[in-house]
Amino acid sequence: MFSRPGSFRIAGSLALVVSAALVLAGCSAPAGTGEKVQGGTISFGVDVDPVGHLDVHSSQLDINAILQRPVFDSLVSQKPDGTIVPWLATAWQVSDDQLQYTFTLRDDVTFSDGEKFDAAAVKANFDHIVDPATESAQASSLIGGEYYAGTEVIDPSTVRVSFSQPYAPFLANAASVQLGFYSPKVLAEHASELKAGGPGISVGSGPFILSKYTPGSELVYTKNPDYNWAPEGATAQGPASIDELDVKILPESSVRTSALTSGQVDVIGDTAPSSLTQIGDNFTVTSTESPGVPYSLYLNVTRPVFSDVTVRKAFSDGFDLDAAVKAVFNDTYKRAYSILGPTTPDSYDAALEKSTSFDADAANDALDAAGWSERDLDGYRTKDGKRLSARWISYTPVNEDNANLANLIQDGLKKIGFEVVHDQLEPGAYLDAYLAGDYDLTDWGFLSADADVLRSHLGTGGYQNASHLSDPEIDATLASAVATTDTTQRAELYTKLQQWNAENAVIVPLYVPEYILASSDKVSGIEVDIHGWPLFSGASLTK
Amino acid sequence: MVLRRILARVAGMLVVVWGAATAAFLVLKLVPGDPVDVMLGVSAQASPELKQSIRVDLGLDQPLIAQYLSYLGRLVRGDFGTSYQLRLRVTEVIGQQLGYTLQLAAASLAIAVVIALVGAVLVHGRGARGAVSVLELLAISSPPFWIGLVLLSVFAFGLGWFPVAGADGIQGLVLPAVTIALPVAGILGQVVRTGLEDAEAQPFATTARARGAGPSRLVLRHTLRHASIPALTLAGYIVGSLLGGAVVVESVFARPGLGRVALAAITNRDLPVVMGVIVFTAIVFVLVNLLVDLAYRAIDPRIAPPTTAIRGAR
Amino acid sequence: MRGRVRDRVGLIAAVLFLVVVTAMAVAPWIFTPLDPLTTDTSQILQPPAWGHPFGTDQTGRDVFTRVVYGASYSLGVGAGATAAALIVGIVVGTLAGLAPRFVDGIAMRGVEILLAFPEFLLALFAIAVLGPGPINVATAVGVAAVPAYIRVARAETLVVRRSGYVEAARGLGVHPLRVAVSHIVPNTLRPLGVIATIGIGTTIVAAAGLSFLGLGPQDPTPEWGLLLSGGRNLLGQAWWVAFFPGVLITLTVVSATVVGRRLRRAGEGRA
Repeated sequence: MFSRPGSFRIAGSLALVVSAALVLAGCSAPAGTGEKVQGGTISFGVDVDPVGHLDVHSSQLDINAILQRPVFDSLVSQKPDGTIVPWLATAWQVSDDQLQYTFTLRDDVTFSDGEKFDAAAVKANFDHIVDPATESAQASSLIGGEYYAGTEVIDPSTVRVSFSQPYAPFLANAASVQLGFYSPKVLAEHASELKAGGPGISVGSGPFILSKYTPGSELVYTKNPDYNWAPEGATAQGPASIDELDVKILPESSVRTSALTSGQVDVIGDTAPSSLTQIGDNFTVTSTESPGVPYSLYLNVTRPVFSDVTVRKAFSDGFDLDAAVKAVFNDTYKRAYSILGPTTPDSYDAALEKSTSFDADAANDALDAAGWSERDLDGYRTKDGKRLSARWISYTPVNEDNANLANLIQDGLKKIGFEVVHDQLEPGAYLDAYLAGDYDLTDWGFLSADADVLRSHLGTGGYQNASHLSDPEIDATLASAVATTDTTQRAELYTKLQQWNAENAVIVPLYVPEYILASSDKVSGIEVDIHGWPLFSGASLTK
Repeated sequence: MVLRRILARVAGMLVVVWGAATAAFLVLKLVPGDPVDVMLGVSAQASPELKQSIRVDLGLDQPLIAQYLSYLGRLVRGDFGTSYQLRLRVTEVIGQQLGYTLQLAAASLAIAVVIALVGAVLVHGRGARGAVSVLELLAISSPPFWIGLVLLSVFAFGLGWFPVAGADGIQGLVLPAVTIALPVAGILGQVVRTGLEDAEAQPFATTARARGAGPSRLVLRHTLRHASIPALTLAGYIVGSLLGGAVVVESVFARPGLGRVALAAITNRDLPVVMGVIVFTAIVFVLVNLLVDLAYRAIDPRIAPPTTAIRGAR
Repeated sequence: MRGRVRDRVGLIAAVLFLVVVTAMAVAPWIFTPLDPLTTDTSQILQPPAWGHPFGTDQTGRDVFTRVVYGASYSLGVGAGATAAALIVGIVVGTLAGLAPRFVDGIAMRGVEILLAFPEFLLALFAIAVLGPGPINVATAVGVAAVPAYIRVARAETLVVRRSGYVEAARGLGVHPLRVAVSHIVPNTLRPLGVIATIGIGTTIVAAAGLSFLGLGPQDPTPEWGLLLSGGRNLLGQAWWVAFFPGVLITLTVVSATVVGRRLRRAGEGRA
């Protein structure tokens, strides 16, 4: 039986798929007619599960946003091009002073536990997000942070959200799963269990219901047969076509790829760029550049080594980023030039694309001029007997591609006499160092569909401001950008910020991540959102 | 008399578990780092008041001795606390994952015993045993993560006979179980084989042969029983190998299970889960030792069992 | 007869291999002109060839060079942790053997409990307490090895303690501690040396296993377990990245075991 890879594929599918009859039909016609069938199970392989961070209102994990989207609906929906369309709200009005958003809600929506969706439910959820006990950083910032003034129930199908000053990103943010809606009953009865999540706790009004959760292993979703309130313009308007969505946790990228090519799973997410060559032509691959802050290095400007802008510039221009990104990502991911990804709506400054380039001579000269002119026995630069050295802390596990990139950066900077000590710390130790500010640089990428993400990264006291930047002029620019709904004016302000960073090298953008989704020809109709994340409500199996 | 022995035995078992629990508690209290920071995650720069309230909720504001007593009290009631990371009760976490690991351990044990017995019975006292002892040596010396990767690349990535990951069905169990089983089979096979060879040199074997017992009857009826006694002393070691192997193998094959939970808890400083796993392991060992003693009596009531199972000698 | 020849060939091969690996650990530059950390973006994932006998990895580093330099960490941990464990084992074991019965009894109960766990599991628990990191891995595997040495040291102490010359020395009024140092400890060294030889192998595997799980040193350190783990995702494309470090670990452990067994047999023969 186990003689050829092909025969295992059939056996494996049988073991996986509940609806055996359909699968038998699928296997007997190996060529595939591409015709859609109703029902069945799609299995989706992902790299991690959001253990302990399942609460959409407090979790900051991208994977949680991906895995909770099937369960939680939002007021509005954002199409891949950035436009906003009605979802649970059929219409909305913004007051002239832009301080009040009044939403008209659908009246036919119920949560999967039978509770009704209405203005009170919206208020309960938004109140929960800003409740300090929720410990929310991202969702509470998306809802407006300090600008958010409150939510009031006008009547059961009308709700008003108010702000203390204009907050332009609100509508786009209202489309995010972080501002999605729990059943009010869950909020009242299981508030303390939301982070653990699971069936009966992660309860929303979405097209799927979380029916089984084994941490570290799998999440099983069954379709919500009553679902009839998809976003406007969505291909699938009624209940989902498939009966079940089965999410498998497969941490190793090579394992995910093989699981897909061997038929063990139908779809994989977070596909490693290096493994794309192993995925054949009969698979569909969609690759979406992530909006928001690219994967970057955050230089801590309060530390002696990086308080000098000359040193920061020498650092960022001192290694061959083009070659490094090409070597690690095989031409799949592009190197980043700016602190915003090219797909971030109404903000990207494409003029920066030629501005920074690798120049070892210039970096060497700059460091010499900055006083780091002596060399020690290991070939590193010194000034007053102190070595030019920076401590880079990373949150483990470090993804393998990023680890390779780090090696190339370290080795490149070593050539100009700049030592980078890369400490990969397990979460507890990382937090100790991060919160104490005991690092010279750290790294991450931050997905966001709105350029206002820069406020948390560059604004004084921002919750992602790892550079410890505090600059009144930057704060003012960030504040006027967030208050402006005029897209041209916004783009100008964000261009100014991007150029400022290119000159000051506070954040060193490295590459623009892409969400790579690969699926077999057994499935069709998977759409992706602006982040490239899959939406399964319209997906179906094919014959 | 019997009652007293049973009582002493049970008391001894309790002391071991209590010792493990106390050691786990004391040492983990010395661990640097604030568990509250670990709970909150990187971005939530929570207010000091919030942190304090969590600390009070967890009882971390109490003096050490009070924390220890309440910890023991909860242990007695079967309450291991709540995981920082998973936000679930530790008993629930262990319960959820135990099945997968038991499955893996049982399959590994079965494979190891079959390989060891078949190998030992077939080759003991023959010329082929030279080659077999080399294989045994290789099996014992190869690190399990290495065996796992080799099996994975040959049979899953290369030939595609088995799935590359997960815990779906029997196919998914084969490679992980074989990975754990090989080193165990190496040690077990060695002990059983030497045991058989020793036994056949003994007078009772000669007598049996004189009474007309054929080679297979001799092995099955007489010498195998004799050889299984030294093998039994390995029980503790084997159970340990199964558990230790599970940590590595579950990671290599992306299988759910207790090993993976333990590893995640160690890297994330999820102290309640770490303590839970240590205490749980101590309980397993105590029970295994009890079973070994009972098995000794069943196989040969005349011999007094050694106090504990010894670690396998290479 | 044939068996003995084969045994001898095996023993010689094992000793030779250990000598080579030790040389790698002490003087890696003899074996390779390259640097284990130098990357080369033009030489990524090259298969084994003349210039790169073990191929290159994802950042163009020479796998052979990394394996050679890795010997010093793995052997260092193996030898260092074993030596430390040996010393602790001798001290505690000898003291237990000389101590009053109830102290000895309590100590031995503890040791027996620990002995029931395999070293890898003990080391893992030690890491749970100490936290991950290269030094902690060395400490953890050392701690895990101690119980076995305590037991043997104590057993030998009990035997030697009752022997004629020790009794005689005590009869002459020599201080017990002095008796221990001058008569008992030397006698425990031989059997302990045998287990320690095999123990180095066990310790190397345990340390590599912890590193493999990401609990030890981190990239770019060339440590064998870490090298293996780094090649995990490349099994389908570039088998050599994970294969050669694994071969080195296995051969080192096999060699240590072969030599240790030989020593043990020699010891038994003389006894």
